[in-house]
Amino acid sequence: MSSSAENPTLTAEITKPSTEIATETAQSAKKITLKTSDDQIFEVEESVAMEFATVKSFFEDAPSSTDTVPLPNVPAKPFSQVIEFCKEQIKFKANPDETEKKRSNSEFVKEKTNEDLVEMIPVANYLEIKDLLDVLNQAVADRIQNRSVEYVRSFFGIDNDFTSEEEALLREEHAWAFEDVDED
Amino acid sequence: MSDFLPEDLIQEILFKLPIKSLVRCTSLSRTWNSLIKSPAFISKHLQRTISSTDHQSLFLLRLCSKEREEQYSLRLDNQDFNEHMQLHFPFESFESYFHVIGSCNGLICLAKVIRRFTVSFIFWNPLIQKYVNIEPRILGHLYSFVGFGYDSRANDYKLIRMVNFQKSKFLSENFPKMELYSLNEGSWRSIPQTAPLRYDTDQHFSSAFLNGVVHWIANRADQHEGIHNVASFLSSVQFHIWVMKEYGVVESWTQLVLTFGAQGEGIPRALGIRKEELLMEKKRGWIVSGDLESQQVRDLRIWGEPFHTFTASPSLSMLRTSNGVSRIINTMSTGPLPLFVFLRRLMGLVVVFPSQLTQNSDLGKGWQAILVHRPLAAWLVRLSVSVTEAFPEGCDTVILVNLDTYMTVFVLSMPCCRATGNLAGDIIIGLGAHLSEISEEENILTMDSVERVPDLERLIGIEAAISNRSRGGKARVSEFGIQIEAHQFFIIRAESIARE
Repeated sequence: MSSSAENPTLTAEITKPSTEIATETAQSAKKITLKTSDDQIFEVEESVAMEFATVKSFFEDAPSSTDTVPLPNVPAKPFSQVIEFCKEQIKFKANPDETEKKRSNSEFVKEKTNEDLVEMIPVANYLEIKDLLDVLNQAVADRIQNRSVEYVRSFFGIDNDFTSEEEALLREEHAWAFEDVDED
Repeated sequence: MSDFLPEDLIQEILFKLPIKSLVRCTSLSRTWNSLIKSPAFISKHLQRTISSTDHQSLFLLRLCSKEREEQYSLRLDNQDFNEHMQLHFPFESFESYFHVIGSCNGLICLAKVIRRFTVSFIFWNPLIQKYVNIEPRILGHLYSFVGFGYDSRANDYKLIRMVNFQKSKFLSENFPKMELYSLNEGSWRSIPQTAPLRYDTDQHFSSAFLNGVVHWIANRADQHEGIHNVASFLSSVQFHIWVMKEYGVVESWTQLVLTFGAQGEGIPRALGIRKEELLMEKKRGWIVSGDLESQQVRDLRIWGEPFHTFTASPSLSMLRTSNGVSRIINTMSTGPLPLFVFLRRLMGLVVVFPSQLTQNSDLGKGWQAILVHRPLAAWLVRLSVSVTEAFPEGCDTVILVNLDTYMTVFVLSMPCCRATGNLAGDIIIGLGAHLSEISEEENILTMDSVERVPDLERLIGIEAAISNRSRGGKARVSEFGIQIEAHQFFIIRAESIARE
């Protein structure tokens, strides 16, 4: 259940209310202002924002725009984590190192809770960050692949609408698939 | 679906799960069940698996022990063919090992052969432990064209057979029958032969499925020189491998040669090729690899015989299939009615056949042929006749019933037989008996109408009996004809039975 608040040093680097950030980074690259669905304002470096295909195409349509870009489907909490990922990613753009990139990606998902991962998926999807979506889907798959049916149901918030007879039949049909499942 | 994620995003996660987890996920809820089992999902999953960059190419390896046990395992495509996983083999060999016809997207097609005749085909997806047993409609000799492949347009797995009935006194020349089995349809379909088949094959199931096309090794039927293995009897062995570098371009055939010392171990059997490597089986079942570049032969320390290599990808195909026997729908049949229903309705008979493998064909002139595959304890209740009493256990039986006269005739064959149709009003039964195992003494047939087949050159007693039990009559037989090296045809004149 970690949120950006539990990770103060890291998130402070990335996301700050626009008023504070202006003075600190006056010399640095161009900033893009983004507004989340819960009305939080984020100022991110242009290079990071261009990782978001959705935002990139917004500026391709209106190159000189200085407006705040609204992100109606993106809540602040997962968004700050997405920015964290993209900041790491652009380092590898200049300096491709697949091993190091893999290590960094697995480090990124390792410290996230199940909820963090599931919340980031729609954000990564909306912003069209393919690499992140891949990493997140793989991380979720890794977390559920050896788990029981009950665990996976609670992971995704699924209601079991089978009768107990139907479920027993399904388990019987594929009994082998229910062997050697990790303890919850 | 999920409280947290929409279906399209869930799908992306599912594509990353191993097969076993995916199968388990079918019991999460109704929506998840129908999503994962949907043909669209299964097909998309397959596309993803094949196109995925970290998609592991696997080899299917079959090892056979002397105790007639078959072990199938998936091996990694690395230098030593390390084992990836053992597969659970759910079938029992009856008389010989299964033949592997091919493998495609993780589905394996096997043929069960008894005495050189194919009695059934099996589509098997070992990773999800699903299979379907398919009875062929045409009795086919081992040396017929059989191919298995995936039809990507129809998202369907298909089996094609071309059974070339060799020239016969009874049949016109070039009498190939083609049939196609579709997994989606669950049935066979005949393919009309528009041109005569000018090719034979003397290979056992040697098809290769590539680029959506089945390929066979064939000989021109009018030229008696086939493909011969060229072996040198000196101290070294040479393999000539022909590679078509550009698919479909005849001029691009290139010869590669592998030469190595034989060390008195005889000539190895070529099994397959991977990259620059020829896999071979040495005399005692050890598998060796020959490097086409360095000409070095290396022992893989894998033992087994015979050995098959096929690339396989994990696939969910057949997830909706229930294990067992495919529905048999014969184009000549009155329908896929269970046998006992069929007889009860027409004759007041109740037949109890524990075996599922029954098939009925309309042979014309009121005659129906009913095939019972290895009746273990079958009874014709009204007649109080036990099929097993009359005939030894484990043999296929064909029962001929005339629906106009209620005349019932039993025909027994060792060990597999099929009523294949009619020819000019006569019933043909193809017999799968092995010639060498039939002695003259076993010839219990009477030859009433031999003269009606003027060119009948050879009569070989087939262990078969026809008796008119429903009328209490003695066994009377018309005649039969034999074809060597192909079908053995047993022709029963419908008229001569009716005269009894």
